[in-house]
Amino acid sequence: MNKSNSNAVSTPALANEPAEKASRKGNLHLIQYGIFIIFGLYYVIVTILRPGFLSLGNFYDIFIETSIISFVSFGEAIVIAAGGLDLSVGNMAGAAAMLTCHLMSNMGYDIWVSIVAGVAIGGLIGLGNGLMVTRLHMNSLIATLGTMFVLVGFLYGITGGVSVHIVPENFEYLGNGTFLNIPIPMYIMAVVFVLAYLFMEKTSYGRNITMIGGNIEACRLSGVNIKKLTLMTFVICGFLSTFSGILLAARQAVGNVDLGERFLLEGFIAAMLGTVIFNGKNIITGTLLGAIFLVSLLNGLTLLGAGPQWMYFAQGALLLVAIMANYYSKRSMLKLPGKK
Amino acid sequence: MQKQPITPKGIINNYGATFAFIIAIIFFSFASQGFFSGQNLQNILVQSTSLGICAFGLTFVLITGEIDLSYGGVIGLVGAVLAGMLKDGHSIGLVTVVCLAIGLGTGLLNAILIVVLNLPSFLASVAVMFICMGAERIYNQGVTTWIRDPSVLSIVQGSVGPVPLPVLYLFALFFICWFLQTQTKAGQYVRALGENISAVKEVGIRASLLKSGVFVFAGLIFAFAGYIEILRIGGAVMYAGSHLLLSVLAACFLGTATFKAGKANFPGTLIGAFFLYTLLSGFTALGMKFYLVPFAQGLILIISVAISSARRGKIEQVQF
Amino acid sequence: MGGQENIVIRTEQVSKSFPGVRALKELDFEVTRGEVHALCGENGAGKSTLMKIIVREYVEDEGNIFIEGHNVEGLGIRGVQELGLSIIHQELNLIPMLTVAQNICLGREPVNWIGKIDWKSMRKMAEEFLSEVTSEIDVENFVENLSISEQQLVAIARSLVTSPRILILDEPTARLDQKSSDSFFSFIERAKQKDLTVVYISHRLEEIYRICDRVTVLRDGKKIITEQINELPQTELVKYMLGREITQQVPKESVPIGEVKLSVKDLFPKEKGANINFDLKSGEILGIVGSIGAGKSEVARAIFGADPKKKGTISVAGKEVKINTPQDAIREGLALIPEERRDQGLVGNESVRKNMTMAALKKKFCVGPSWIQKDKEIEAVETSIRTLRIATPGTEQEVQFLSGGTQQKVVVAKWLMSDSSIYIFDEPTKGIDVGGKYDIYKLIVDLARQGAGIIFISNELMEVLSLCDRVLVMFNGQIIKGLETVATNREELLFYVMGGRDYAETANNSKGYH
Repeated sequence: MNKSNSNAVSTPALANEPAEKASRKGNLHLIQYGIFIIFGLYYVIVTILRPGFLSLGNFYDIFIETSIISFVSFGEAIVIAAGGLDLSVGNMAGAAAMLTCHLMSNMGYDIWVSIVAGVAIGGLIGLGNGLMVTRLHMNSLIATLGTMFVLVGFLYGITGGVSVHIVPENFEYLGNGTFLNIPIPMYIMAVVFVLAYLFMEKTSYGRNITMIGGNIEACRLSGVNIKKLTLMTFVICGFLSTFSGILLAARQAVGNVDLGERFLLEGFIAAMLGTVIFNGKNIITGTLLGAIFLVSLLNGLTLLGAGPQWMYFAQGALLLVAIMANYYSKRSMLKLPGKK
Repeated sequence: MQKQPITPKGIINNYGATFAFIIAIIFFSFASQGFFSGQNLQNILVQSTSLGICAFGLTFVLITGEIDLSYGGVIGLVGAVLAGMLKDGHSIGLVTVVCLAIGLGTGLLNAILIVVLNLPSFLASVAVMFICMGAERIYNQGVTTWIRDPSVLSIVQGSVGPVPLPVLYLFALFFICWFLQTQTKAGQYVRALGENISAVKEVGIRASLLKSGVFVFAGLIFAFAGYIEILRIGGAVMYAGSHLLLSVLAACFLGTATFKAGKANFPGTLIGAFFLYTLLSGFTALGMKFYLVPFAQGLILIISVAISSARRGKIEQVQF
Repeated sequence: MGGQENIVIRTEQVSKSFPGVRALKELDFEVTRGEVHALCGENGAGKSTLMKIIVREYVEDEGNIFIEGHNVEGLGIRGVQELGLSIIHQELNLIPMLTVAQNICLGREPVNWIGKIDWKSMRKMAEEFLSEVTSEIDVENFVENLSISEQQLVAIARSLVTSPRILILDEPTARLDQKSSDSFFSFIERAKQKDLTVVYISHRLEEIYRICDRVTVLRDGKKIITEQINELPQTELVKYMLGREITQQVPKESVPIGEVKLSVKDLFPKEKGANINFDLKSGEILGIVGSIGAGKSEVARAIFGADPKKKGTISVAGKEVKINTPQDAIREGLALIPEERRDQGLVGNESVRKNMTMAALKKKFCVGPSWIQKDKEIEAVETSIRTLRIATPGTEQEVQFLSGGTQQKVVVAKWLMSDSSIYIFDEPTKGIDVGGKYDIYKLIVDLARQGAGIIFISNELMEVLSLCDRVLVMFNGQIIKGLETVATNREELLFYVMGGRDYAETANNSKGYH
């Protein structure tokens, strides 16, 4: 051990080193811009190899897909913003879709009643998740994992595992119809996006949810109702997940039990990217971009002729990129002078 | 002498899942004839082997305070390679070595991501899981490959006297893991590491190396679990690992509610694994629909974890 | 005194700087074999730095250190351990899930030929070391089942595993209860007879005089004196620790003191429980002093509802109020500026604006149920930045990039915005440079002038004396003394902080020494 490196052991919280801080901020931007640059390059390459990537038809495909996963991504992003994680989103989406289809097609209920019931069940499950986290102090990973299991059973329970194939035309219209040449899911996405954006950026609820994710103890000591707000994030996530499920069922014109399974990974990747893109700020816009990135990545791969086996690779790699970016942008914030 | 006072709450905290397990066995024994038969109990044991073995690997990692979900992909990848190489006519010896090498490799990858690069273990290992799933899919082109060579299958489907081989493997590995963790220095340090890493560093133990070692060891165990699982089924089905993903986690968390309240431990994991399959078998014997099983499993997971978390008194946040 | 071979620790002209401070200045320090050597000094005097250099956790900038005659240059933590040195830190660093025996033997477990831990001999080994300290603890018990006091004894036993000939104890009794203290002191007695050398850092007069042979006083990184303990009266020791009066740097002004604002009766915090009673008047600055572990923060947090309390009533402006959560406290106009501002006071990756308006967001900056009026918010934040002279490039700067003093002002601004009238400052100047401190004092005086009641918790006696109207001294969780600051001085205050009893009498008696 030589004497010169000894200062690194521990430094009292006195130094205020602007140069070092500035370079850390630089790193942050590098991470954020890096994501845009990588995707920009990717788009250029795909466009050169497959000009069809830029066609209007493909744009519609990308945006319809984006719409469908955007809801679950917004929900997951809001939960993540408050420091939680919801693994049951896919199953909540599936449950809502199945319940809606079941009520509509098998029980003959009105389509709107069925949809409301489907959305409500999501909120209810979200409430359960939230209560487990805030009242029983369970780790949200494990609590929602348990919910996931329960829902799988529930889904098979209400349907016996049989898919619902015949759905009313009006319902199918929700997923496949267009209005003024623009697909219906995009309208729904636009509305939900604006509402979620306003909620997170313009209301005290959204503000405090983000603050809780930043430092829960500081929030508690400042009188923020951390229990209520954490609970709220899970309920919102439950509601939003059902949108994705119901719309996907409408688009496929079929409700089946494992319909929602893909949403867990997709929603999580989009939300994670969304958290990183603007450095933890403006997560709703970030998540929308994240969802577009994810969908266009997979879309481009398909155009390039990659089989489904590459999708796992791509998603795994993207997940890794997102968490690394997230981790390093956070670490550059935490490792400040005086804090070991 | 200050032993913990015995209170009803303390008992539930420490042994809640064990009691639930015993109650479940008694309940099924009365409710369904044939449940408590030797054959059925043996079936439960055999079915829970790959889950149990895999859960031992995860338990090791949980003890260090991290998590490793890569087994969801490793098992499938090992299975695909195992079946594929056998079909191509390679000897079982070589194939076994390759399978274990896959475990070693993924374990190392986890160690690099989590210990060296300091990424959060949950997410890093999920990414590794997906990479493995992709590799599996690329290797086998999505085709299920069956293994027909009886001499190979006998590795898992045979038995020594009345004891089926998988059960033997399960208990042997249980003993090895339990011995390593509770009876050796390294095992002590692994536990200590998960509790208070600075205390471990203070006495001069190389914590990072130890933690990396745990991930590599876990990778080997996952590969072994995949090996057993595929040979038991007799063929490599797609994404064999993802079917086990949740059950393995559940077994480990049930284990935390079984002996040492809130802490992963090997006897607990073993019982957790049996418990999950007892429920499965019991429900089937009662003629209940299969879908009630995940339902019950989920509830049990929630209840067992709720018991050990309720006393925390604070919202736990997820660290990314 | 014996010859050179009897000097077990010797430092020659040791200096150490951290960015912004010179922690040690050309320090000479000697410990002889078999003695119990007390190391005294106020916080920041350099005691811990010196010890950390001796055990090689830090490396000195200049100077030489000899242990048992060996120059420790180039040795690591393990290296000095092999020279027979062992340290017990303030942090316990035990592993709750393992047994006492496993903790004591951690890193040195006896194993048999296949690598299995030999439990029997480990148990024996642990018992052997533990019996040096106490006979009350079962080595098979899990550490998590032990009281803090017992855990401290286990930590001491663990430090004996390396068979040290020199033991450094950093405030070991801060966690010990009466019974454990007794067995600890008899351990020290026995150790002395076995020629074990002990360096003893403590803030407790009684103990220092009970077990130590010699004492070295540090102040501002320099050695002031080394003296036989029985030749140094308690009040003299305190004087050496404090040194000359520092010139007044606090913008003190007299503020009319009004009605009782906050009244605390029979308060038992959950940790460090003891009966706490006091009143706080408007315009008053009430200091609470005490050494580390005396229970100051616990009282603050219990009043504010941050931690649960066992019992106690709190009245605000004469009316009894129920405070179970910080939300309740804030509703009654209380504000807590917590000790760990980064961990508890601020959301580091959020802007100055969001941090400032956090506590009052709903009350003052929202229309309807929750719609944020950003214009109003920015205006209020800008006003605050101006009036408090907060050095930030703008309202949107993330607080993590601000200096410590500026961050503290943001925390205070947060409470100003929520119209608090009772402020609890928990170590507000810790880790803040001189200019920043001055600003914070000024802020506090301003608050008092506007009629707020202020509780000022601090370890620095000087600032308490010059800022506060009244000061309460805490020791072992209790308020042992209440003093008017005009009628006391640093010596008396430190005397009580260190657990002394009856200053006037002790001071009189000590005159007979010389």
